[in-house]
Amino acid sequence: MDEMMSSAERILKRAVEKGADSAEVFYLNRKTDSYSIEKNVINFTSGNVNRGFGIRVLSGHRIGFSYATTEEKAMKAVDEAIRLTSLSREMKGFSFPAGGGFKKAEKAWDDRILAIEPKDGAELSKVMIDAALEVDKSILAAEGGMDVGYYHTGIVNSEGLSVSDRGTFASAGLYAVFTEGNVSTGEEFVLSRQMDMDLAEIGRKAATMAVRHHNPVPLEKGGQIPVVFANTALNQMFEFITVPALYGDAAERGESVYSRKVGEQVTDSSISIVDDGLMPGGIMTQKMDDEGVPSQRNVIIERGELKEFLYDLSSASEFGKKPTGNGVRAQRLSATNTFKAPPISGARNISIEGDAKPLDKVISEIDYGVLVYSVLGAHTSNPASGDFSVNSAQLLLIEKGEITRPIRSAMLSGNMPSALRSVIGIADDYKVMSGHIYFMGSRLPSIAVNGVNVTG
Amino acid sequence: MEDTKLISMAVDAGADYAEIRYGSMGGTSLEIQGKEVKSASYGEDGGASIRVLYGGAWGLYSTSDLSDEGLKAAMETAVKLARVSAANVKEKAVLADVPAETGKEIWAPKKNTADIPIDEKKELLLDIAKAVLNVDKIHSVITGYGDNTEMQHVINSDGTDIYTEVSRTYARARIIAKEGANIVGFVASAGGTGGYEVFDISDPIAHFIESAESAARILTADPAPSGKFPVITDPDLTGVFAHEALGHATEADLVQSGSSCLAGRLNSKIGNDIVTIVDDPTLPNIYGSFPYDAEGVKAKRKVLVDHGVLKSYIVNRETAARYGIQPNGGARAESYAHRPIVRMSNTFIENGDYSFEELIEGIKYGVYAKGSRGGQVDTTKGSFQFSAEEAFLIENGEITKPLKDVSLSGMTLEILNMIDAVGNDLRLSSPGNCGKGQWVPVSDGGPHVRIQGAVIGGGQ
Repeated sequence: MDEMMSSAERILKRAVEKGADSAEVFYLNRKTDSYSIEKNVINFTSGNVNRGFGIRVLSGHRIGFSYATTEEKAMKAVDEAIRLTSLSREMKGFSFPAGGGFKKAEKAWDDRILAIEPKDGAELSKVMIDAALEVDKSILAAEGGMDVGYYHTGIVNSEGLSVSDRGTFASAGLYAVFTEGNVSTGEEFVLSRQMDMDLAEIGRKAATMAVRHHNPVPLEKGGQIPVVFANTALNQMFEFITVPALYGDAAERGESVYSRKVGEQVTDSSISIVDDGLMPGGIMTQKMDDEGVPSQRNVIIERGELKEFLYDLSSASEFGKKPTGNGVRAQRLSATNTFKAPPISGARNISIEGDAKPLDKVISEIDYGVLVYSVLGAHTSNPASGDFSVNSAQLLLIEKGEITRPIRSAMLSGNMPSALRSVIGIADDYKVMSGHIYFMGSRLPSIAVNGVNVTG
Repeated sequence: MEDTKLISMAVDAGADYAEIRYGSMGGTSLEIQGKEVKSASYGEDGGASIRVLYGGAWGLYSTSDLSDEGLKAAMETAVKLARVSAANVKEKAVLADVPAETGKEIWAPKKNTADIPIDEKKELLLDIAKAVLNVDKIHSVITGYGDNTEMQHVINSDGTDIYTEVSRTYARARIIAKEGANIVGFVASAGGTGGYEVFDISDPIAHFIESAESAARILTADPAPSGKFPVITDPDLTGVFAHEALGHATEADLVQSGSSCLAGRLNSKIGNDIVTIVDDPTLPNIYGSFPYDAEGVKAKRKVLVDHGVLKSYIVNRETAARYGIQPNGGARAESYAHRPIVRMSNTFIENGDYSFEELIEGIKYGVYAKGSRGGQVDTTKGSFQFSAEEAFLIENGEITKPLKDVSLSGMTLEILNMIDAVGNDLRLSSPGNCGKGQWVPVSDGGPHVRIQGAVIGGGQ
């Protein structure tokens, strides 16, 4: 987006002229087309362009931030950013990066996405519906749809940095209801940077899951039994418990269960936790983060041993660490980045690595337990302690190594850091996902753990 | 270009209905960590979305480009997108008639936040932080302040041309209590619609001190028992109960898509006689209030459940027509760029006539659950979960000891029958945000309520 880059350069110049010691201008231009499914049809089609500038200035080692949607408004917003610096804390040692060391992001752009016309998008969404309805005559494709789009983003700063990147994205999902007797539901979605998804498969999976969960039974025997968190459920637990505890900002302040534990064994030695802003095709893959720091692979936990935390520029400078490429611009309650918020720490493509095997194999090693697809209330967990108490109405009973019956509902309570110390299996069903409320990109498998209390 | 000309363009192209919704939102936010400002930000975002109903299906295009060419292109795209939807639609959307609304309704703050020096806002946060850190066992606190003014201007082909402005002001705190290896996080907020006067209406400092004391208490509290017990919910938790257990399932767009367990149950008994549940966006200074919805329909008080009988859904114009319900102004959008969908505002259980003492006296063994950490619902199956900030054990009609990590779960169609006593101390709770693909400000509340045999998931 040359036009926005030129605007950004002019805004930067204005900020320096107005007296900022140093300054940075971020821009984002994102175009999204959405096809919404309601009750077996696409009944709502929409398009949205989201574009604007975020201005960050440094004056007397103090930071101020403002944003605006146009160059004209941004020229005025510069004054606000400078004015706000007088309030802020002194951050000696904070400086904008001069750039360099960028690597190309792989599989983050696909021309095919740009070629999708509205009528093509509607046709593709219909493939999901049709495939779902073919599974059973009592299936209703209740809600869902497809989003496709692209973005251009860039950062310039007064240290001489000028970097930009672009990306495409496509997501499709379906929420199916099996309408016989007591209704049951199923959901499937795919997030990708490429137009490579099998839409019929998404529809079939959602419908098949709804049928599979029909006629659930109460959980007769609860207690501390093995729990398999399906990748989708693990993503929920990661978003609200595990990932926030891995940010240096929380850890250095003693607000994380992992505070002061670098070098210690904090999870089962069979797993490693890695965040990689350059993961090919990752949902938040880009050559730089939202502050112009090169994206990189960070091994946070290696075979159970805590190695390091994730840092944006501010937290890195405050605690004397190197930024890890995790500066993201996200608002509270927003899972995508925006020009409207100053940078905070965010996981780019967080993943669990280990000796992964097929999910069937993981399940076959469990005598009696549950497979949980999604939970209600992960956001009500205690992020500081990692304690959780969530409900699931989307789970299956495992008996003698096999899935037997759907369970009506269960409460799962426990402590997530403890659960990660008792991993009994990792599946190889890695899925690309994102956060729902907090900014987070992920690629997670299903995992089996001990130590969770399950109540029917 | 005049708005009416743009609308005519769409109508001439064959649209059944066309609407332009201008919106902007701007304001200040501050975040303080300990005693220092961590971030200070100011900005404004604005634009318009054009929504068109064509052949019974919808197209919407939103843009921040408000030039003549920008708006004209947006209108053309919206018509084109609606045509795509129309090619597939089976049940055509029809809009219920509503009075054409014109003019301006500005909820002017009594104390405009723009007139309050930013240093005073910073001082408020510092005072909160100081008071919170004074509480024993409090390790750290991050306080935040935000004010914003939201403008909305809806013009449509049915003659509506209504301009509104609403301001919201709030403070929040993320409190960390710590003792030895035990650590507890606690989030609290205060504020409402209006300007800086929201802090005169209720004292934020006292509120955050109470939260800090709770956080400290939870540190050494025992895990709650798991199982079925009588539970008393405090007004905050009654609110999240009203919102999660019932409110979402009354959103008529979910009923329409086949995702609500309340489909086909209008005018049927779903709860005990003593249960009345209301959604009311007209309450002054409450965080979820608004004057007109995102379709330009006047906001209305809605009695959702009247003495145990499901009386109404929350509707937009489309679902009002589909279910024969009087339009009640239930369409909301997070911003100009978002599609209006059916949402709650301020949702609460109405007062009954029990005092707190009367609620508790007959309970041999149960749980008194206080404060909300939020909740979630699966509206299709009607199963929900919500979590209390803190709780106490009730033994032989008396509160005995603090408990931690209390979650409640249940089924919408069962739980309202299990409420066997409703208190007389209705209160609306602190500001909240409700997520349904989009975020909107809401509030909820009620009196103390007794539920027989709620499922509690504790750590024990």
